[in-house]
Amino acid sequence: MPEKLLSIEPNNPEGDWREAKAEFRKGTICYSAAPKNVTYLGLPNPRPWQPFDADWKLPPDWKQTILDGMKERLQKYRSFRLFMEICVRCGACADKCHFYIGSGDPKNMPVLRAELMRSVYRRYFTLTGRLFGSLVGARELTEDVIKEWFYYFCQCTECRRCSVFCPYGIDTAEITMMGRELLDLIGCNINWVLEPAANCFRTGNHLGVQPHAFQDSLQFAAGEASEITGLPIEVPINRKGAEILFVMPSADYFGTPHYYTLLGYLMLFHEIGLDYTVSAFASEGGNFGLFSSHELTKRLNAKIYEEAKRLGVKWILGGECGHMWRVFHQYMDTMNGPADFLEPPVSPITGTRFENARATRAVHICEFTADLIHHGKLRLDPSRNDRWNVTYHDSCNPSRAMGLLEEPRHILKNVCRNFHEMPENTIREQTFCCGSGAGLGTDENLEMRLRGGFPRANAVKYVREKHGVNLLACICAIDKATLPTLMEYWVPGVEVAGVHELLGNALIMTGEKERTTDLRGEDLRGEDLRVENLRGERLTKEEATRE
Amino acid sequence: MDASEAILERWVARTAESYPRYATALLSEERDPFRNPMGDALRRNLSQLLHELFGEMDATAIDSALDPIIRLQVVQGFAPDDAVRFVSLLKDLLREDGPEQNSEALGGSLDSRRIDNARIDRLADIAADKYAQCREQLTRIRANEVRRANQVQQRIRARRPA
Repeated sequence: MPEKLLSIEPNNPEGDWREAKAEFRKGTICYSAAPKNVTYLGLPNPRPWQPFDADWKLPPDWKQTILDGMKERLQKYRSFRLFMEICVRCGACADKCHFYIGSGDPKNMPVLRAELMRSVYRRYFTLTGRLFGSLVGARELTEDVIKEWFYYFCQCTECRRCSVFCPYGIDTAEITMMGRELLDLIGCNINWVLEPAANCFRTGNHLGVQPHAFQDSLQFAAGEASEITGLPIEVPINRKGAEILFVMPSADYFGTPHYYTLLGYLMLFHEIGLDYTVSAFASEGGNFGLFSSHELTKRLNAKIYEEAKRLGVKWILGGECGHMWRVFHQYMDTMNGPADFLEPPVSPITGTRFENARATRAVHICEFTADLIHHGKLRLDPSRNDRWNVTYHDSCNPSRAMGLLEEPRHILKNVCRNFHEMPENTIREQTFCCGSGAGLGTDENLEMRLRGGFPRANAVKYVREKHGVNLLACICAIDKATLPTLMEYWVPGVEVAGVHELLGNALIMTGEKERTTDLRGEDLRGEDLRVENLRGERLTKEEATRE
Repeated sequence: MDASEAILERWVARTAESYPRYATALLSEERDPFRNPMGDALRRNLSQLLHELFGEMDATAIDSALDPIIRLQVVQGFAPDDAVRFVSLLKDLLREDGPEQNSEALGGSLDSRRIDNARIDRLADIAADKYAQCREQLTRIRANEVRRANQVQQRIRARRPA
């Protein structure tokens, strides 16, 4: 075979990778940020433009701005300087990126994507680069290079799979983060990052849900949870003096299947009598600032501690979200801490001290629930999930950024009876990204997302064919928004759910009525009770009657 | 390597050439289906297609083998004619080899007339249909995603008294 490959004459032109060339095609790119959002956040160079325009309307001093920005960050972040210097091009990361695996585009090899920036670093910040230029892999910073940065740094979901394999521990996600920060300085940002960020700054959540609508959604959920269980389930909002502030991603009270996870949380909290509150101000755990710059990350994150302080809670419990946990676990303490006004988290039910959260004072809901199950504090009937044959997708940030590997599995294995792991090199630390994280989950970027999500879908397809898996469980809001699309295209017949949706199904609550439906309104014996209306929406019989 | 495997290897290699240069080695060499799902999909399904072309031309088997390849190329930015080109590549390969070698690929039992261009053309037609179906599906799933994103609000509205 190798001899045969050597004899192949590739049809495509060889070229030089240093020739910056990015083809912007609709369906494979994210659109630019609308000027109103750039302005709202006080970021530079708001103007109407699109990546497929020839003229990006960069500011006159764009080149100096980028170089000054690089210089500042090289001095400020030792990690950035190291990552620019230490790569030995061993190639260990080359075939680990889901975008490279799904597209075959060599510039999506993490080493080469990073090289897009390293080559500029060499040219302007190293003696050899200044003297020998392209001979040592240096290249000039041109507008085409900026376009190429935009193209490829918006094809990295900052999932950090490549960094698992790097012998030097180079975190390519941080290189992408630096790339996006620099692009922000000259106004090259994407709307699906800045609009949620602007919304979040205005109303406290990415979706721009105002306090009255927030209350409306949560009360609706509490009402539905009450109907399912026959219990008076309530959700406390902005309640001062509660022990715990519960923070979740806004998609949990807006979209499906997230919403069923929310029902699961509410039922759990009711059953254990948790003294908690949610907040209409800290109504978003996610943080799209992370996909723009560290300054914006900090600005959006600040509300969490501020609200915890205002409400006088003891500690913070966080819902099923991905990058929210990267921010909470890795940045929140240094950005907006120390949270010395909070107490080290202790479960009021089991007495477990969450030592791992001593600094941030924020506990992941899966840690909290797994601890309850471990101590036998929940009565569970896993047969209520018998219609599901479940596999688990380790969401990138909780798994690789905070090491949350066993807790979700412990819950799943207690709440359902049919569970099958995907192959070992596609889960846990080696999990494949959904292909839509880091602000890329927008519909105009659908084809690129489906390329990037292909390796994950391929592993799901394997367990579907081998074990008949029909449910992909996960603990990330972006996963829940985009994996259903991925499944619909690549693995039809597999649905997506949060871990706490399955917990809510299995939870035997004190005084509950006999459950006839699961949280989706579907018959526990597997019969679908909902009906489809003319718009193709699936409604309960009651909703359909009202219509 | 027997003759049919040799044809398959060359078909995989030629198809891999339609990808960027540095993807070709990955597509052709790495055999782990999870490290290289694209190469695995190409190899497994081209093998199945070859089997059908030389055999019964079973419609269901052809459909299930074409689907993963076309499905990938649709989201990889292949234009319709580029996406189905891998089928006509086989025509070139077989023409280069001649009927004797093709017959050997099936252990000498093959009537070389069965590898006629009409079969390959038929495969190309099915591939083109598959491409159109996948494009239509993209439109549909995009709409479904938007619908899911707003479903809670729709349910709240549906439950409110008029």
